[in-house]
Parts: sequence; C-alpha cells; structure tokens
Amino acid sequence: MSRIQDNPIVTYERCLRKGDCKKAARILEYLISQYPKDIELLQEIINLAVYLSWQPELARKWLLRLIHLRQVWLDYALLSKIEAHLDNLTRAREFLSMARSLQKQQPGIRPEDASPAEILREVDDVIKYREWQRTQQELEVETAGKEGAAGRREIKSRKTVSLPKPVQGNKKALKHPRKPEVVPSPTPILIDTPTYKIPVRVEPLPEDIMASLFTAAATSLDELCLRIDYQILAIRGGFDELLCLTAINNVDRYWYQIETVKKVLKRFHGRALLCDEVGLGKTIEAGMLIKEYLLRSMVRNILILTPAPLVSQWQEEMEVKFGIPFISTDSPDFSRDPVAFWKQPFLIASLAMAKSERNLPLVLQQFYDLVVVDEAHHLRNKTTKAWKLINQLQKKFIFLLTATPVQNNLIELFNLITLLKPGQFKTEKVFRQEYVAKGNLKKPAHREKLHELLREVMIRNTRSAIDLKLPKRFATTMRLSPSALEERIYESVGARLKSMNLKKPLVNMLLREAGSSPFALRESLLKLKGGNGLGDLIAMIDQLEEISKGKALLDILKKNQAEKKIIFTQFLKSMDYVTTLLERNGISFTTFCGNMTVREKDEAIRRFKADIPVLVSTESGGEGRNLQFCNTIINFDLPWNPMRIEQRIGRLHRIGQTRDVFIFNLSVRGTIEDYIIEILDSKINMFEMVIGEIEPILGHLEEETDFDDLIMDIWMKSADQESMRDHFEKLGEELAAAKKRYIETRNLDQEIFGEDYEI
Amino acid sequence: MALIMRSLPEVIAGILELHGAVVEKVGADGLDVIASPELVRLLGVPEYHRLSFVGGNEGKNSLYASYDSDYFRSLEHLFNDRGRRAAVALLHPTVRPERIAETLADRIPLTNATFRLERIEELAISYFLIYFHFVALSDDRHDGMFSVLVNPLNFSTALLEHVLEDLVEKIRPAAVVEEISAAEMMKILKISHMAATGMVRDRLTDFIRSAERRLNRDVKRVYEYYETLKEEIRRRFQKKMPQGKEVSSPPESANREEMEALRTRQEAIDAERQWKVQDLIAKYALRIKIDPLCVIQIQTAVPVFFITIKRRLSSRPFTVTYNPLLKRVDALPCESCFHPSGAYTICDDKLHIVCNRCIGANSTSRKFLCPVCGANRGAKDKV
Repeated sequence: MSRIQDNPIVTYERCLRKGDCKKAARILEYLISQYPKDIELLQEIINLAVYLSWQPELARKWLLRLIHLRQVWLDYALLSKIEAHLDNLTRAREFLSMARSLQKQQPGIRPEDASPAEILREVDDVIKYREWQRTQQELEVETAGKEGAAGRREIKSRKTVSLPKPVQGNKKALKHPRKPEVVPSPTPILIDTPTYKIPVRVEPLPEDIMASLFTAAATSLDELCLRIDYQILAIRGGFDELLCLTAINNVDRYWYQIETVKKVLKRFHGRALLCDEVGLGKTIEAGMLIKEYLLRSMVRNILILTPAPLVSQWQEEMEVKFGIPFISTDSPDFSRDPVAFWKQPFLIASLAMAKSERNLPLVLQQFYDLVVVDEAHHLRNKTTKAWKLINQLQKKFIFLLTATPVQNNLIELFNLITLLKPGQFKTEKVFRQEYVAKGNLKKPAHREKLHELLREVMIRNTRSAIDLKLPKRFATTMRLSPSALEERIYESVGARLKSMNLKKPLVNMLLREAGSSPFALRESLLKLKGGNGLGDLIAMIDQLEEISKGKALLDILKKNQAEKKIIFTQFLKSMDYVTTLLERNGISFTTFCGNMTVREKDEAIRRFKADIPVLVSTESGGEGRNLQFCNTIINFDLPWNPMRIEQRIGRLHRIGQTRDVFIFNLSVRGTIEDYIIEILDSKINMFEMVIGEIEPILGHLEEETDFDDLIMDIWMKSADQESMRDHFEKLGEELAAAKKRYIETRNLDQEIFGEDYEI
Repeated sequence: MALIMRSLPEVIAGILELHGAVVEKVGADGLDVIASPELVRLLGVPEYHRLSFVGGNEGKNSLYASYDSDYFRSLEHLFNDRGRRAAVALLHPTVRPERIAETLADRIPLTNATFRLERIEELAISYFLIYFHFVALSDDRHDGMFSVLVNPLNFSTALLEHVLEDLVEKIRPAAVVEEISAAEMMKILKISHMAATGMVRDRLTDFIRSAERRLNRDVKRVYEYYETLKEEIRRRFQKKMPQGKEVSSPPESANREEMEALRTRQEAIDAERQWKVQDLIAKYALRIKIDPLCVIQIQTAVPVFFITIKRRLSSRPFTVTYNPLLKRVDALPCESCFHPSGAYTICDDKLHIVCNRCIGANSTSRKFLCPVCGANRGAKDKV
C-alpha cells in the first residue's frame, strides 16, 4: 500500500496496463477514501467495474454513491441495467422509471453513440430478457416432459448490447479495451418448422406365399391350431425380451450389458453414446445391439468404423462371438474393387480409410441402417475430416463407443452429441453459455441440467456402479540368453528373410515362428527350401536339442506344482516341443487347439479342471469356457499385437476370477518379441494394467496402422540391432505418451461424469 | 379338440405328440419326452429327454425349452406346410330371414343410393378365416397376429379375435370339402391381405402417432439448431458490415463478397439441415410385412339376401349374407380397401361400393373420384 500512497496514479496506470483490475480497483478505492466527493474518481471506478472487469456488485456500490452526489439520468440507466444483471428486477424497473423521468428533464445530456430513446429501450430489453429467463427456468421445472406446440416455435436471438458510455464532459475518457459481455436480447425469431408424416410402406404379398397356402395339403384343425398357438407364443417370447441372448456364442453376458442393450433399443431408439469404463465390454454391448437389430430385421446393412489397429479384432469378434461375417478393408476385395466393396452389407473399415480422398465419395453414397464408431473420441473435433464424415453419412441408427468422451474440454462432448442428436444442446455458442463454466472449458455449469440432457443419449457403466471387483495381475518377464546355436539361427533367419523377396505376411509369420521356437520355424523352412539355400539353416535347427525357453519353462512349472497353469503358444510345432518336454520330465498335461472337436475340447478342459495341472494351448484356448479356476499363465511366445496378449490374459483375468493372476512371459534376447515385451512391460506396464486398458491406449496412438504392421515396418527398416533398438525405443515412447494421454482423459471424464450415467 | 390358447408346455407337447412322440407331464413344469425316430432326426435330440421351462435346471438329459431356447425355435421346422389349411363345418341354430331382413337398412348405410330386396335364399357357402402375422419395423419393432374372415360371395371382411374359442361347440371336421379354384383362392387371399393392411394400420395408429410425435420433435430440434446457427452467422457478418448498414441492404462493391460468403454458408447449412431431416424420416419410416399363416374354410348354410342397388338410372345386383359367426348381417365390403369405415357411397360409373374413407378429395361436391374405377383404369393403361 505504501507504493500506492507514494504515487497512486502511476501505480494505477501500471495495473491497468498489466490487466490487474482488482489492484487497480483497490487503488481507486483508496483515492476515493481520500477524496470522497470526487465525481471523476467515482466515474473511473464505475467504468473499471463495468467495462474492464465485469464486477457488477462493485459497480452498483459506487453508482449509488454517484447518484447520491448528482442526479443524471444516464447513471440511473446504468444502475438499472446492473440491477437487472444481478436479477434484482424490481429495483431495475424502479431505476429505469427514474431514468426516464429524469431524461425528460435533462434533454441536453446525450451520449455520443446512441440516442436517449435507444439507450432506455436497451435497458428495457435487458430487463425483459431477464424476466423471460426467470419465467423459462420456472416453466422448465414445472413442465419437464411436456411437448411444445407443433408448427411454430420461438427462439431467442442474441444481439450485442453495449452499455452507455460515460457522461459527456468527462475529461478523463477511459479506454475500455474489452467490450462488455454479450447480453442476450429477448427479441424472438419465429421459424416455421414443417411437420412430417411417417412414410408407411406395406410390402406386397408375394405370389409364391399365396400359392403355397393354396397348394398346402388340408390338415386337421388340431394341427392348424397348434401352428397358430406356436406362432402366438413365438411372438410373445419376442416382446421385451432380447432375441440376441441365445443367438450368440461363447460370450459371457452381464446384467448391465443386457440392460444397456434394452435401454438403447427402447429409450434411445438406436442413437447412443456408449461410454463404459474400460474392460466392461463395450464391444460386447455393441455386438449384442447389432445382433438384436439384425434378428429383428430392423437393419440390413451395417458399417463399423474403428482405428486401424482394431479392425481385425472387431472382425474376429463379430465372426466368432456373434456369427456375423463382416468384410474389412484388410480384405483383398477392397483393393480389387473398392466401389463394390462399399456396397457390401456388413463392413468394417478404419476411419482413416473411410475418410480418405479416394473412398470418401463412395462411403457417402451409401445409406447405412446402422453405423458403429469405435474409439469415438477421434470425433471430438468437428473441424476434422473424421467428424465431417460421420456427420455426412446417411444413416438410420448410430452408436458411438468410447471410454473417454471428454479429453480436453466439454466442447468435445458437444461435438459427439451433435453427431447423434443435433440440437440436443442447441448450438455450440449456447452450449458454452449455458453448460460450461466461465473461463474453464473443462468444468460444467448447470451440472444437473447437463446431466439430464446427457441421460437421453449416453450410457456410462462404471466398475464401482456395477460393483465389479477384479483381482490384481502380477507379471514376471524372463529375458533369456540364447545359446550360441539359437542365436546363430535367429540371426541367419533375419538375414535370409531380408535378402529373399518374400511377401510381407509370409515374412511376418516366419519371424514370429522364429521368435516362438526354432522348431516352429523348421516346418515352414522345409516348404520354402527348394532353391532358396535354406538347407543349412534347417540343418542347424536339427542340431538343437534344447532351447533356453524350455529350461525356463520347466523351472516355472516346478514351482507351486499344485497350482494349475496354462501355457500359451501360437504354433503347433512349438506346442509339440513343449508337450515332448513335459512328457520327458514327467509332468502331466493336456492340450487344447483349434482343430479339436467340441467334445475333445470339453474333455480337455474337464481334465484340466479335475486332475491335470497343466494345459498347453494355442490362441483359441479356453475361448468361451470358464477357466477362472486357474490363475497362472505362461506365455511361451508372444503375439505381436498387444490386444492378442490381452485376450490371452483375459481368459483368466475376468469377471468371476477371485484370485490374483500371475503372468510369466518368456522371451529370448535379441528377438523381436524381446523388444516388444520390453516396451509393453517397461514403458506402459501393460501386464499389470486394469483389464482392457490396453485397448484405449492403442486407440490413443497417433499411428493409423495395425500394430503388427508397425512391428514389421520397424524390422524392415532396421539395418542392424542398434537401429532396431532405436526404433523400438521410439515406439515405446509413443506408447507411453498414448498411455499418458489416456490417463489424463480418464481422470477428466471421471471428474465430469462421476457415477451418473449407469443403468 | 382343444382350440383355446394354450400354455407353452401344452403347445410343445401337442407338437411333439403330433409327430409321434410320447409326452408326459412331470412335476410343476417339466415334460418327459420319448421322441420318435423322425423327431430324433429332425431336432437332433436324444430319444429320451426331459424338457424344462425354467432356466438353470438343465441336467444330463434335460433340455431348456422356453421361449428363448433353441429347442423352441427348432420346432418351427416341424411344421413345414402342415397346419396351413383346414376345413370345418359350422352348425348353427336356424335363423328367421324375415326378421334379419328388417335390419338390412342398418347394415347397408348408403349415402347416395338405395337398395331393394329382391329375394332371400338359403345357400351353402364357405367362409374363409385367414390368420395373419404382421411385423412392423420403424425405430422399434411390433409383432402381432389376427384373423380376417372373408365372405367369398361379396368379399365382405371382418376382423376377428379369439373366434376359434367361441366355436368349440359348433364346429366339426367337414365331411365334404367344397372345392375352390386357384384363381378364386388367390382373389380371396389378395382381398384379405388388403383388408389386413387396413387393419394393421388401424392397430398401429397409436404407434404411428407416437413415432410421428418423436419424429417431429426431432425435426423441431434440428430446425432450431440450424436456424440458431444461421442467425449466429448472420450476426457475425453484421458486425463486419459498415456502421448503419444491414446485411440485407443492397450490396456495395466492398461488401458484395461478404454477402456472397454469407449466402453460401447459409445454403450449406440449409442443405445439411435437409440431410438430417431425411435421415430422421428414414429412421422413423415404418415398414410393414403381413404374411398369411393359415386358412380355415368354414362351410355353413346361411340366408343370402339378393338386393338391387339403385343409383339414378343405374342399378346393380348384389348379395348380402347373414353371418352365423358374428350373428349379424355381414357389412358391405368397400371395393377399394376391403376394410370399410363409416358409410358407403356408390360411384356413378360402375356403381362400385366405396367407403367414405376411400373417397377422393372432392367428396364434398356431388362428384367424387372412385378409387376402384381409377385403379381399374390404371390397370388397363398398363396393359
């Protein structure tokens, strides 16, 4: 305060330059305390409180003081407006009335940029708008749920109203760099909304059906009545019961998923934002909805759009669990004939592919009964091509799936909802004014009203709400040093594959086999042998008796022998090696692989549950079967795609598991798998994450390619181990950044939504 | 012979027994089944199995058979073409035609014609009771079943519910089945389908109204959204205009580009709004499929009233019958929709009988467009 006392004007001007209005106001108050009747000072502080930093309470206080000293109609007009902003409408009217009567007595007092009549009319408009707003709020509470009148509807426009400038003759003209806040005007805009009738189409009766009725042999009335009764019962069974429940395979359905599906069908009528927390089965919910709509014949063509890394996974899930054969942009049909491709009834495409210049016109030509968008937070910005694509798509029903609907600010949520129901929150401007806290785009204002509107389009199941408690996961990664021969074999394979002109998928498979075990590789090398000079490589493999993974595997199995363990491997030849190893060491086991019959698979699981301690399985192991009695997984090899690794773990670590799950990963130094484990384990701690979290992390990756392809690209462009290490390091950092982005988003969403959106 | 609506276990037992199985009730809701070889083959079930209708009770030889089970669904394949046609004879008390004739005027409300009763005869006719199953798909799905009774003499139709329950005492299998030609049968089916279409629309009135309400509410929301967007854009442009000028005032060279940009933006918004509305209309559009399930030919003897309908100088013979099922004279058919509503009007050209709902727009004037004549003319033009 001493500095103020020394030179208050200089300090004041410095504060104004810095934008420190609070301090500037304190300086003025100090000065006013020194010179209480100085009108210019009072005008200064009023202008500061009105034009520079909106502080209506402060402005009112000093306006009242000013009015006490002089009677000028403009002061009353300003005071009336401020009272209206503070919702003191009675006082606002009183002051307006006084301003009017004073103005008649003071015709000489006229501001520069508006006539007295205009100024008084503006103040009147503000008061009327406030009165209307209050009435609307009261009406909203009373009449929630009632429908408005059809036909004509008033909307309020917004127009900027400027507050009157200071009285003429004021020597100190203030600079007010910021215009006053926009004040809505109650002038309504009438729009004629057309009303529509629903087109009703009755399908004509086909001749063949009529003919079949006529040509059918006459039967007894009993039989006919049975047929009628059966049909009636079939209809009764369909009402309010989900038809999909018995039409899907190997899927555990939980009550909250069933309720979600019913709610989307009955209440949301096919347009919904599904925002369940990770690991709760959004994909299953979407699959159930798709199946339900198909069984009810309500949809005939479906388009699923996902990030590129998840396309194949969606295709597999739809096929295996829901029996719906989708074709994807990974299929050769797509590159062969894209025009025909986009006309197929069941499509899965990456968002990047669909919005590309070549494909966009083809996609937009079609009408889709149902569109599903996974990881829909990619649509958060409405200036992006992805958002515009979804907005322009011709569609009947649409589901948006994301565990993280809000990543940076609430406008993203607005943009998502606008895709489902444009106008649910009016325009973005109105949304900001009504539902976003001033100055903080992440914080909602009018939370209750916002949640109420969101409940009409959004479902968010959370772990706590559905009381889901999953035990922890503990992972141990054993990075094994290969023997000299193993190392030579692996290096030779890499070098040979780079020199041979083989197709990418074949190289991918050979590398994965090599990473699994040399025995898995041998068979494929035999098929490729002719003329390729691979004989020496095969000879080296034939010299191998033991591999480093074998010994490590035995060490794990010998601990806690009473506990049941599942050993996963991708390749049958690796499985053969493992089973031979176990036999030699007297460890009883049973096997499980895709080419067994259903009976054999059931028997394998039954024996494993009963008295066999070890199950050796390929990727299909345990799908759809209850394996929660086991809590130890050993990854003899690792798929390159983290989602597949997650699926393996998910066989045991899922709803119903009561014990902590232990994961052992075996990798050989210098192999690609070793690099993959390194980044998944040390960079993002994938093996001990919450179930399902890897999926949104992959969804947050900036890369638009499949993860397998990412790894292949790294291998192809790496000249040596050093550069491979660098590339994997870079990928690891990208994954870590993706995880960080995901966690920030998750925390923000938890803060915004809380526990409000569950069934 | 049980004709009333039965429970799920009863129906399943009936179906299995029809195919040679031995079925016995067990406990509160179980059925023991010894299946015939045919059933074992067709359903893929063990010869002996127990059916349970409560989930969770399945054991080694026990199968879940409730509405949502594979077992229940697979029974549909057992029917094939069986149970689609039957013929019965209806016995009913004798009625006095003269007394019925007195009520004819009430049953034949003609707005612009008269009729004269020529004679009454007792004739053997076959009514056709056709069961329909409909599915209506919009943003929701509705299923239903109902039956339509058709009089082949005059194609009068009636919507019937639960009629079989009322017939238990009165019907027996027909000893001799009246032959009916394929062409006649097709005509009956087509007419009954037309009537069924009207009946389904009536039944779905509330659903259609509710869907229209929802559609228009969504359209209103979309219009408000886009109108507000346009207004916001207009105001942004307004701010850029010179002081005192409105956006709508005649363009000067300096702001012609601005106006053009504004117009383009607003046109784009209008186009987008139209897409959204079209999407909404497509979402709520109602598609109805009506399939005939089975037909019962009900042979009976009824009094037939031969009348002559007179309109101006023209006349047309017509028949009206007493319906023993409904215990009243059959309503006149509407020869346009076959599901008449309200009174009837006779057309001038061919004296077609048309219900007031089907009359064309200028029915308030004396002349109206006969939809049957129009349809026939259209059919001829196509030929």
